[in-house]
Amino acid sequence: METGSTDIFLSRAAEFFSLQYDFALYALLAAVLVGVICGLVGTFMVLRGMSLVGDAAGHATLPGVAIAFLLTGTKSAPALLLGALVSAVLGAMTITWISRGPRVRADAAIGIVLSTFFGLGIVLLSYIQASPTGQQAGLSEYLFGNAAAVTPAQIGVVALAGAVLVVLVGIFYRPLSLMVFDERFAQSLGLPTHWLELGLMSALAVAVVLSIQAVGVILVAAMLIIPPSAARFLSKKLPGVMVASVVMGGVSGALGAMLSYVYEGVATGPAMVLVAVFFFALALGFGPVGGALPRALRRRRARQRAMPGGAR
Amino acid sequence: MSAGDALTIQHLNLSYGAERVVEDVNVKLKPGSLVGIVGPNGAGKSTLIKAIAGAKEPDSGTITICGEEGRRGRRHLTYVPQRGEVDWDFPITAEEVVRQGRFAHVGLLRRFRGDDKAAVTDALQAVAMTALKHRQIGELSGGQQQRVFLARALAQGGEVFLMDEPFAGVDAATEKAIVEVLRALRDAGKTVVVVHHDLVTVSDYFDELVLLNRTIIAQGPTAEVFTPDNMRETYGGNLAIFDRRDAVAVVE
Amino acid sequence: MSFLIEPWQWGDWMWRGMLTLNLVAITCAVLGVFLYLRRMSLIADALAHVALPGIVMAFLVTGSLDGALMLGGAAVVGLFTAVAIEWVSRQPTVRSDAAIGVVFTALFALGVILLSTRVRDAHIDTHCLLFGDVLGVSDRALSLVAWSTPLILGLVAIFYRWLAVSSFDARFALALGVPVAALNYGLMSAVTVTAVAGFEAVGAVLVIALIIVPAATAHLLARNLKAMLAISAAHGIIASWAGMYLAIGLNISAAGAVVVAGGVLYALAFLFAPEHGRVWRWRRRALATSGPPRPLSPSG
Repeated sequence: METGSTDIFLSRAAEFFSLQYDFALYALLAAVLVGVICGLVGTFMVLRGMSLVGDAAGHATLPGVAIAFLLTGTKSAPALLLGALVSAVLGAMTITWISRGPRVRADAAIGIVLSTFFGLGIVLLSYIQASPTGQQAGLSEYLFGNAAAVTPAQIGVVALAGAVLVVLVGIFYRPLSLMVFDERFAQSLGLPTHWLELGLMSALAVAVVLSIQAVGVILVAAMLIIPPSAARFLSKKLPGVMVASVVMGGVSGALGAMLSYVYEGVATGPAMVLVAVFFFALALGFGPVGGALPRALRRRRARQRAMPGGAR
Repeated sequence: MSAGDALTIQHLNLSYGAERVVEDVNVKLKPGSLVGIVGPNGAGKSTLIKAIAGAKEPDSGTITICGEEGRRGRRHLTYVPQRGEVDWDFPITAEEVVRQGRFAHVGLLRRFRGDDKAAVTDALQAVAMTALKHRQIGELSGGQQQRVFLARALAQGGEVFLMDEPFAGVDAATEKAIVEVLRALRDAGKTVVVVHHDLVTVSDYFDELVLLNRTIIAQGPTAEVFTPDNMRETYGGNLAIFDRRDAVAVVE
Repeated sequence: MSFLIEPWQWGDWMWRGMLTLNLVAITCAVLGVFLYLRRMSLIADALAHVALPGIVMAFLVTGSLDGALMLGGAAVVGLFTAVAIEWVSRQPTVRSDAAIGVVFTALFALGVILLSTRVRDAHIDTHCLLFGDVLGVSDRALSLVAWSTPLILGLVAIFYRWLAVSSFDARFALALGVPVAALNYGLMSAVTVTAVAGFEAVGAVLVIALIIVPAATAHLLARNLKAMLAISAAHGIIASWAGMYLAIGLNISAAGAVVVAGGVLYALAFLFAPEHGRVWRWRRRALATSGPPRPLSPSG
């Protein structure tokens, strides 16, 4: 690397974090909030073995958006968001509903909902515009996100919803953690697991809908899955995993927004995902809970103990 | 090693990651024997079975089946996995499960001939499942499922039969039927190795025992090996032992 | 009747689209059954998404948008994805679904960034990648599908016994001497090739739907594996025809219409399958809890 490029990088990064430009501030706030909210909700999904439900919920927003547009006839943000939210909840609940009972694989249920809802969305969009490629720009933004276009009002909504989510998770922490660990047992204790399920799926839908503007439909799944998966290498306890996931999600958001500012053409969404992947790789290598290096060290110690003298 | 041994294990070490679960196991079994492997939970029974079946790579040591090692040796082996490990929703009928036993003989493309079909029919007959052969596997009771897997092993044939807890979760009638089949196999000169959990029936079922807890505690004819001292050593303190006049009864 | 025949007279795009779609649907449906039974359906989701980074990287390496090279690149990245998912899911504390999510989103993010920074002027049509162009199938796409379909179906026929036994009982298959791991990678390669070959014609979203949904429908209806394969293929074909005519009749997206038609078929099977349909189960439950006791027929 040329010596100059690091300097340029550092000065651009400093410029970004000095927050002298409003749009940089908004992008930063949006990305961090998305990282935090997804990191929190994603922890529960990953621990329940339902990581990809978030992916399906993301794709399931499309028909809701299209129907909201058909009904209202405008591109007003609140209506579209509400449509997205309703159809994301519907998609997530459909998954849990059809995975119950015999002859259904939970993973296939995710794929079925993902593709059918998205297909329906595509059909509705193509119906709205006679030519299926008419509104490519809007669709591309929806698919890939655009954090720079987030408005202060939207950030306010996201922050508020995020705060509500945190409070709710705090209040329902015990039943939620029980359900994540052992749903049958939770049921036997008389916990309303169906309502908890609905709550969790709604939280997921909220997280997905709030994130789409910043990271897009396809990469929402990444922010829901990667930070929690990395966090599992850092702690054996649920609160520890949750905190680590939230922190990594938030930091990924901040660094992603910064990278997107520094490098022209790099969108915030994919940049935060790659930062999160970097954290995941670190956790995989060095995480105290099952990371590759600690495991190798432990194995070596065990071998040395097995052979007194420690030769070899 | 005498050429006549059916299964020989020498200095076998097995581990998961850093943890050694089976240490220096040596076993020698003759044809025509019905052998129980007995030990507490976590003693390494399943790991040992996996290693014999080729699903677990040993750290060191050799496993010889009918005088041959590795993949060649495993051709003589017929393995009945634990019942819980398959998918009961799988679209497959009882008869088709039994037909899988012949895959070892027909390979990928050869058609089923008369002797293959006869082996399948006989195997279903031996476990009294002929009437239910068109049921989907998940529609059978636990005991019936276990019979089907035993029939698959019978259809496959082989010299050494390896069974992981065949009596887990089956009804009394099935347990009896399975024992009958195992005895018939022994009488036909086969070696039958069974991982077993129920200490009450041990002395009824098996001619020989291998007591395992990480390593071999004792092995030999059941009457000699199944003693209070040996059982105490195998199970540690977690065992109540009732010594009556003619038998040892043990409760885990 | 004229509605059914007329599209065929508008030029050769109809039969080209139909042929391609049906071939892709059959291959996807057959492979989908094995993925489904191994609980690996969502690998299809991952492989369909990594086509974007695959094509972008192939373009970066070769500098051209030539079909063969691009497809080769996509295939290489697809295989890499399968291996990476396998490797990540073997790590402690990472479940297989999380491994899928981590790997494909990571590659997708990389693909988007490369697309926007390095190959901005290459005109890779992301819309086309996702939704395909069933009504305008190119010669290349058609010939690719025409070659890969018999190849993959032939391989499945040859290795049918191994695939069947290892899907049902992997331990037993291993003891039989079936090379379970190699077979697994073979299956992944076949899915990758199918996905890549199908992209240009039908797009990523439709590939996912054609792999996952028919197998799920077939599982509700079939009692044995051969029946499941046949029903799955039939589902793929029916959805293709229904979707295509819907698309033409209503002037809507063809890929979307085929996906929706498949979803409707699944919903019908889910509710009304002879043995496992939910409607019968609800009715049995309703009868059992209310009304005078009466003998219930097992078929509902």
